[in-house]
Amino acid sequence: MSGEVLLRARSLSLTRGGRRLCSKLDLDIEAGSCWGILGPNGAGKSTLLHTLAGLDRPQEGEVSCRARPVQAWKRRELARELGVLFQLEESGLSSTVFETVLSGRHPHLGSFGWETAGDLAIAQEAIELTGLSGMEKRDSSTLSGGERQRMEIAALLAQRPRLALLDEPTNHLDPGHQLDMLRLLRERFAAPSRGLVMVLHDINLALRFCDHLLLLKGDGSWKLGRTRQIGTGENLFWLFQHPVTRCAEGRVPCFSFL
Amino acid sequence: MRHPLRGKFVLLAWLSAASCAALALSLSLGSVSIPPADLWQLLWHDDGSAYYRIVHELRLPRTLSAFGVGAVLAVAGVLMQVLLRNPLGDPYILGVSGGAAVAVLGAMLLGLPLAWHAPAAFGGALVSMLLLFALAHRGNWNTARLLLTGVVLAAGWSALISFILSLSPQGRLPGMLFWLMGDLADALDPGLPWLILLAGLTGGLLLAPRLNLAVRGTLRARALGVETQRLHTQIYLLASLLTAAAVSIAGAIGFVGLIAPHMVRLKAGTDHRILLPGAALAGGILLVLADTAARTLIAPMQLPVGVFTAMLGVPVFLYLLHRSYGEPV
Repeated sequence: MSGEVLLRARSLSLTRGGRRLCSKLDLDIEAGSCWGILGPNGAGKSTLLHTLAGLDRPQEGEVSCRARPVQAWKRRELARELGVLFQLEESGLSSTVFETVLSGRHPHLGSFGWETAGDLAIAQEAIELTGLSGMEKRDSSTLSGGERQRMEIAALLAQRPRLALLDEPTNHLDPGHQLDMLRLLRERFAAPSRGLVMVLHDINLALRFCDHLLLLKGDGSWKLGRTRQIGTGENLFWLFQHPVTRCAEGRVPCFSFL
Repeated sequence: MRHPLRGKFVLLAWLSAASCAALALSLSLGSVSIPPADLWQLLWHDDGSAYYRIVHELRLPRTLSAFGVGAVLAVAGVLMQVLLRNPLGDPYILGVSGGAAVAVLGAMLLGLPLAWHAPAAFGGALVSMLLLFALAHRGNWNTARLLLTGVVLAAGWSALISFILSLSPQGRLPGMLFWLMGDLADALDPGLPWLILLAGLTGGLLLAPRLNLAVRGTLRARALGVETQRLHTQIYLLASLLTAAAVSIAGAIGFVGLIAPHMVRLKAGTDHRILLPGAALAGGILLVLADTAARTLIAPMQLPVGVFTAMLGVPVFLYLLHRSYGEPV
């Protein structure tokens, strides 16, 4: 695969609390690809995702979106290129499901910020795709964790960015919805001229859905490449420092921790 | 497909009707009561009677001022709540009115002329907001830190107020006490509060689409294309100026900025394109009714209007607090 490079990181170094999480990372996200980021707790997966989205400044190095540094983009224009799914967070002020999903259209609205019929239809479609039909008028604070996660995914679908950066998209979801949502996201974003990067904790989902992996160890070291080459038991042991075994011989590799 | 806001404009129509009713009630009640039927005549035709002068020289300016100040306080409340991402934001609770009160009481103690009181209040409120910003802002707005800092600042101002009161000569005390609980008796020029309201509401409505994203969180708003740092500064400045202006006109009136937005949210949700004008109308109604009660309940004595808004506001605040922090998430 050699598509257009949507997002490029060059000698990226991240630190947090004086600890170096990732050192001199070079990363090219090409159109049509689906990347999985794996790593232990506190390895800087979310920090990396936020840095790639231009929300955090890196210690060193540069991130550019379509050959232009992310910090040089206007946020509104960048929001049409990059969409981010954050981990759930409490807010004292909540809106309805429909209003929340519709807020994903913000980067596409005209100067008065008024949504057109087209924007409403896009939001409605995203609600249907994520299985939230009938909940449009519910206050989002009354939703369960899994329903809120799907609402956030719907808002991201409504945003229609070129590249989606997802922080643990399967959080709070039951196994059936995990697969449904990952399939939906891959179908929408791992497509020509689009791309997908997701932080995952479930190794087997990462092996199954991602064609590229980035292993972030949290001590500065990292490995990346095609899933077929990187997703080995040896690398997983290196990453998590925990014994791992291959559980079955199948078309899709599968591992379990001991 | 219907825009979700379409159905909610009805609420603004209802609130406008209720505003007219509240204004009429306030104009007809007082030491002499005027039947609503005569009120309409008196508003437009000078019949040379004392009634005409009562309505036009006494009640109309005060009622319109009360409406304007209440609306300004409600808009400031909505803005503070966006900044805090919490319905508990209110300039009074955050100590802004306390700062204004210390400045005004200081001016009264020094015997400065009446004309100095409003500028002193304005300056005091701004100083208090700046202090709050300096103490509570650490690169981001944290709800708990901001609320606690505000409440402690308010406690500090309150101690200073007691100090000034204890130094003050007897003769000045009643005026000071009235100012402390809000007093619309001197607010006889409705032009100023309405001008401020118009400016504040226009500014708020221009920010409204971004305010809707800001309540979803700073990172989410930035990822959706909002320059959040600039937005937060704009919200902060607008809320500060509105509060300082309201306090300098009508004294320290609490809780309007808390109650009015809450009532509108119950019916119309959190879209600021409806919430801002809705809260402005509700805040206007609230303060007009509170002021009517304050000047008629035990007439000819007048009560401070802040007593009534506080009696409504304290239970509402406690209810919101219970709801925000009552359930584990």
